[in-house]
Amino acid sequence: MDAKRNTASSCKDREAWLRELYKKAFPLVAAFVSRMGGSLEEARDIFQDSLIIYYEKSAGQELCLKHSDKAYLFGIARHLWSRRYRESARQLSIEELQADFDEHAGLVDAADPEVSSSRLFRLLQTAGQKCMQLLSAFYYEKLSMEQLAERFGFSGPRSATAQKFKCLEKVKETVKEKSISYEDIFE
Amino acid sequence: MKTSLNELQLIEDFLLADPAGEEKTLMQARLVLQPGLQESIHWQQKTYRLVNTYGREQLKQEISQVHQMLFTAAEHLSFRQKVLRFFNK
Repeated sequence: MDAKRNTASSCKDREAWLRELYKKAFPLVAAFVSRMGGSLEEARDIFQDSLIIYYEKSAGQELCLKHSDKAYLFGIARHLWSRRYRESARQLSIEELQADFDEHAGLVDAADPEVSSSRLFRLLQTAGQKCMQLLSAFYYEKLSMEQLAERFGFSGPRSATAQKFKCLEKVKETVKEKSISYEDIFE
Repeated sequence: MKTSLNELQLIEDFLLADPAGEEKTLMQARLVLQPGLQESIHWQQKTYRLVNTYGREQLKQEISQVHQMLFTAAEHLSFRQKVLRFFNK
């Protein structure tokens, strides 16, 4: 089967992709959390973290809706639920703990609350916003240079590469200077 | 002093491309010859972490907006009712 042709019509931009997944999979997760005695807020938190994990696994690929999305998201959500709210670690098998660790490692590592609340981070969000957007499109969303050029209006991949390194240089300089002057250590 | 583009690229390959043994050895040799390189790697690694945190924060905001929209917009009433039913017992 030609998978590409098959899914072409269901490939979305990120916002539409998130909305469709939310509509498809959130009721399933909400039903599960409710059955386990949890609240709507807990269901929301678990589901939103699951979406982030799922997105990060899909980053760099086209965001196409698939039949397996719902089951995949539900699996992640159930896992996060058992880890966070209800079961003690002893009840989980080693395989489950390992999988859990893999999923969690990424989440804990990048979503560091100390980083996102640091002065340096807030400074970069405002003063260096354009560069942060460009760098995050490349390193976090894992867009190609062609996609980067298209989104940011560069003449082509070469120009996008040059801009990316200019931004990396600029942000790195800021990180260095401000970390030293603020002693704003985020580790 | 600013980092040269060449050095940025070199460190990026080292940190993100999972270099083979030979390249790792080369980097270790460079570290001996260039005393400032270790520090430069350190700042670049922090920069990548910050960028990833920034990317994830943006995504979180987008997800929150989607949630907000699904739980307030008139056209999603049936979705809303379906979900709320699970918790109104």
